[in-house]
Amino acid sequence: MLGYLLRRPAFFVPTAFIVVTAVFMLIRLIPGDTVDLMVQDNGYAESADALRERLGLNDPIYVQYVKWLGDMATGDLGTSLHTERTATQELKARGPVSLQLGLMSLTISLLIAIPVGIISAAKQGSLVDYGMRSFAIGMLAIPNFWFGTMVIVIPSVLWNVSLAGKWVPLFDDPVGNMKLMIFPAIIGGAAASASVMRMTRTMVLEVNRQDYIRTARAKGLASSTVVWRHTLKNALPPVVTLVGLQVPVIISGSVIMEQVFSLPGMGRFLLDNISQRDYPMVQAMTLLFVFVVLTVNLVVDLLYPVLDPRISLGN
Amino acid sequence: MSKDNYWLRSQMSRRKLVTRGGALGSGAAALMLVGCGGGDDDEDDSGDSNGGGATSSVTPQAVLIGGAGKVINGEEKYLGKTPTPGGTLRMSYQVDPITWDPHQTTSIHTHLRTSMFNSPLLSYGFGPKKGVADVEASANLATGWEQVDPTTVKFTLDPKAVWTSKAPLNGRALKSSDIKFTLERILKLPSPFAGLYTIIDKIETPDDQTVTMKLKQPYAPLFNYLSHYYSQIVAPEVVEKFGDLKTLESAQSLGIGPFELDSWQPSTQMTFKKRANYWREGGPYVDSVNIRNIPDANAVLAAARAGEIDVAAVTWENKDSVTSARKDYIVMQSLSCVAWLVTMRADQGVTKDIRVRQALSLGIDREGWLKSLYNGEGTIDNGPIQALWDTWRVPPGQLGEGDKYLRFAPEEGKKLLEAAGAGNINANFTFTTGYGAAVAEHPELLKDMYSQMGVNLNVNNMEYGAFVGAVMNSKPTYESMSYAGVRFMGDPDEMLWDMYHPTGSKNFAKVNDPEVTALLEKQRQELDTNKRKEVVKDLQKMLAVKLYYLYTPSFSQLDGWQAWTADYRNHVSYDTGGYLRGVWLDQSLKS
Repeated sequence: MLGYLLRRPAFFVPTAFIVVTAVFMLIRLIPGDTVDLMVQDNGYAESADALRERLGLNDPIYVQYVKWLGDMATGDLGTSLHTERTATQELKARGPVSLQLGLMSLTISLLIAIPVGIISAAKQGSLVDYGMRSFAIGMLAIPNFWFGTMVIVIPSVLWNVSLAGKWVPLFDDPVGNMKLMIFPAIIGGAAASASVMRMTRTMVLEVNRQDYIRTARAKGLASSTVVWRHTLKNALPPVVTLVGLQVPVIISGSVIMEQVFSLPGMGRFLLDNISQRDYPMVQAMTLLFVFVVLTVNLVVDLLYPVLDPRISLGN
Repeated sequence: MSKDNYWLRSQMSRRKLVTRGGALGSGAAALMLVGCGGGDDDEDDSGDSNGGGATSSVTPQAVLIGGAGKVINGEEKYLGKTPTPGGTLRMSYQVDPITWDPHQTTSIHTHLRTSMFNSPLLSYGFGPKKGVADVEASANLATGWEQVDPTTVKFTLDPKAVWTSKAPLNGRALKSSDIKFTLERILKLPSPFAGLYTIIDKIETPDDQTVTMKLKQPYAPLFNYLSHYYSQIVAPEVVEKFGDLKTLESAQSLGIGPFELDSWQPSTQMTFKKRANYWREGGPYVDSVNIRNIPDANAVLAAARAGEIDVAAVTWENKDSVTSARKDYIVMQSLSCVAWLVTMRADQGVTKDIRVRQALSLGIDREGWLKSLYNGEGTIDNGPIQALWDTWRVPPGQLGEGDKYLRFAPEEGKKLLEAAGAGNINANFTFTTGYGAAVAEHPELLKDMYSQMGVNLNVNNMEYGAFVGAVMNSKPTYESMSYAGVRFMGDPDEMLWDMYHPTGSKNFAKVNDPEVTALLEKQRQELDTNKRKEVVKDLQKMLAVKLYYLYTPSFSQLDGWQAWTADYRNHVSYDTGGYLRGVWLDQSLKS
C-alpha cells in the first residue's frame, strides 16, 4: 500500500504534463490571440504589434513553452495577460466557490443515487422501480443548463422571485451562501446521480443473485443486514469507480451552473479566459482541473481495498 | 418573386428562435449586444413590394424615435420633480472589466466602469432632455474652449474641479498638466486610441488652468474625441505610484468623476460611492451604485421582474415578461447605434469591380428584411452614418444616384454581374455567433436573397475571438466577405475615416480611393460645422454609389428601467458616470 501511495502520484507528472502541453498548444492554434481581443476593432497596427511584443507573444511558440515550463517549475502558475493578476490569486479567490459547488453536487448525487439505486433494485419491476428509473433517464436526458434556466425563470415569472441572488462567501454568511448554492448543487447533483443510480441498481441486482446472498437470507438475516453487510460491500467497488468518473462531469457542469447562477467560480472564469485567449490563466485552470481529477482517481483507488479486502494495491 | 424563400421561413423563425434561445438559456455574452426590432407577427408578406425604389424608405416611426428615443411602456412620472438624494442604484453587468486602465483597451466593459470615476475633458449632454445619441461636445473638466486659430485650441479648466480626497491625490485641484499627462500617455502607450490624437503636435500648459493644443492641421472632430470615453483624464501621481492603471488599487485611487470605486468582487459585484467632494452641480444624487455581475440574460430579467435591479435592458422578445410583472416598468425604444454591414475587399478579387458591389447591393431586399425581421420598423439603410445620427446622415431618397442601389432588383444585379464577368459568385461569408441572437438570422437571410441572383454564400460561423482575429483586425489573410457590426459614438469622422481612409483602423475593405480620401480629409479640416456637414453629406452620396460596404437595414432596440429610477437615460458614449450623475430614486413611486 505504501509503495503504491508513493508510486501513484509519480504518474501525475507525465499525465499532467501531457494534458497541459496539449492545452498549451491547442489554445494557440485557435485563430485570434489575446492582443486581437485587447484592441478589438480599433487595432491600430503599431499598438497591437507593440502590445504583442511586450506580452512575449512574438516569441516562437517553443520559446513561450519552455519559458512557461520554467515558470511552472518554480511554482509560478502565470499571470493574466489582461488583468495582470496572478493565477494563484485567481485560484485562491475562485477555487473555494467551485470546490464548494463540486462537493455539494457530489454529496447530493450520492444521497440520491445510492438509496434510490438500492430501493429500485429491491423493488425490481415495481412502479417504484419504473418511477425511479424514469427519473434517472430524465436526469440523464435533460441538459442541466436548461434545468438551471427554468429554476431561475419559472419562480420569477410566477412569483416575481429571483433565485439567482448575490453570491456571498460561505463563512461570511452561511445562510445567504446556501440559499444561492443549493439550487445549482441540486441540479448538478441530480444530473450526476443518474448514472450512479443506474450502476448501483445493476450491481445490487447482480450481487443479490449470488449464492452467498441467498445463504445469508437462508440463515434468517434481516433484509437490511443483508443489504448493508453483504450486498453493498460487493456492489460498491464499480459504483465508486463510476463516482470517480463523475467528478470531471461535475466540473464541466459547474461551468454552466456558475454561468447561469452568477457564481464566481473557476468554471466560469475558465470560460471567460478561453474567450479572451488569456493563455496563462487557461493553462493554470486546466492544470488544476487535471490535478483534481487525478487526485479523485487516486482516492478511488485507495478505497478499493477498504471496500473489498481481497483487492491489494501492493500487488 | 417566389414566396418559397426567406420570407416564410424567416417570419416563422426569428421571433421563435430568439424566444426559444432565451428560454433555453442562451446567456452567452456577446461583446456587441444590440436589441432587435420586430415584435408581433408580420402583417404583410408581399415579396413584390420591394422593387419600387427607395423614396418611402424612412418610416415615420424611424424618424420619430431617431436619436431621441421614445417611451413605449410606463410613464416617466418623475419628470420635473426636484431630485431627492439618497439610496443605492442597483444595476447589472455581464462581464467583468478585464483591466482598469481606460487607455489600454477598447473593451467597453472597462470604459463603462472606469467612467464612473474618471471623466473626459469635455462631455456630452445627458438625461431625459437629451437624446441617447446626443454627441455635441460641451463643458466638463473644461468650462470651454477657444479656437485661437485653425491649428490652435485653448481650453480653460473649471477651477472647481478637484480630485478625490483619497491618497495620493488628497483632493488637490485639477491642473492643466493632468490633461497634458493624459494625452501624452495615450500617445506614448501602445494605446488603441492613439491614432485619434496623433494630430496633436504640442500641448502647452501656460498656467494651471489653461491647456493649449497645437495641431498639425485643422481637426474638426477634436472636441468630440475629447468628450469621449477613450480620453478619460487620469492623474500622474496614481500612474507613478502603481506603475500603470490596471489594478483595482489604482482604480480606487482615482476620481475626478462623480463616483469612487469602493469595492470589487470579481465575477460578483462592484460598488461605487458618491464622491463626497464632487465639484459639479447637479448630482450625483444616489449614495452608491451597486452593479451585480449577472452573466445570464434570463437571470437579469428575473432580477428585474423581482425588482432587485433598477435598470435592465429588455428585448422585443422578453419585454412583455417584464412589463407583465411590473406594469410601470419603463421601456424606451430607440434606433440601434450599431451598423451591420457586409464587408468585402475593394482591392482584389471580383469585388474590386464596382459593378459587382453594386449588383450585391441590388440583391438585398431591404424592405423585405425589415418586414420579415422587424415588423417593418427601421430604415432600409444604415450607413456609413447610422440612422440614429439624423443631423449628419443623408437618408435614403436623398442619395441621388446612390438611391438606385438601395432597390431590390436581383435581375438587374444579375446583368451587372454578368457584365463584370462575375456570374455565379461562390464566396465564403464569415460571421460570428458572438454577436448574439439579435442578428443570428441576418447571414442566412442574406444567403437566401443572394441565391436569387446566382450568388452563393458559404456562411461560416466563427467564435468571436477567432472572428476578431480574422476579420475585425484586418489580418492579411482575410479575403472573402464577412458580416460585422460596427458603431461610432463620438463623431462621424470616427466611422468614415476608420472605414474608408487607407490608414483607417476599420478599413476592412482596404479602400484606397483618392476621391473618397480627399473628402475624408476635407471634412476633418473644415471647422465650420455646417460646411462640414455638407462635405460629409457629399461623401455619403459618393459612397452610396461606390458601395465599399453594404449596410443592412437599421432596426430599433429597447432599454428599460424601473418606474422609480428617476431621470435615467442611457447614452451611446459609455460615459456611465456622466449619465448616472443625474439619476435619483423617487421613493414615492416605489410602491
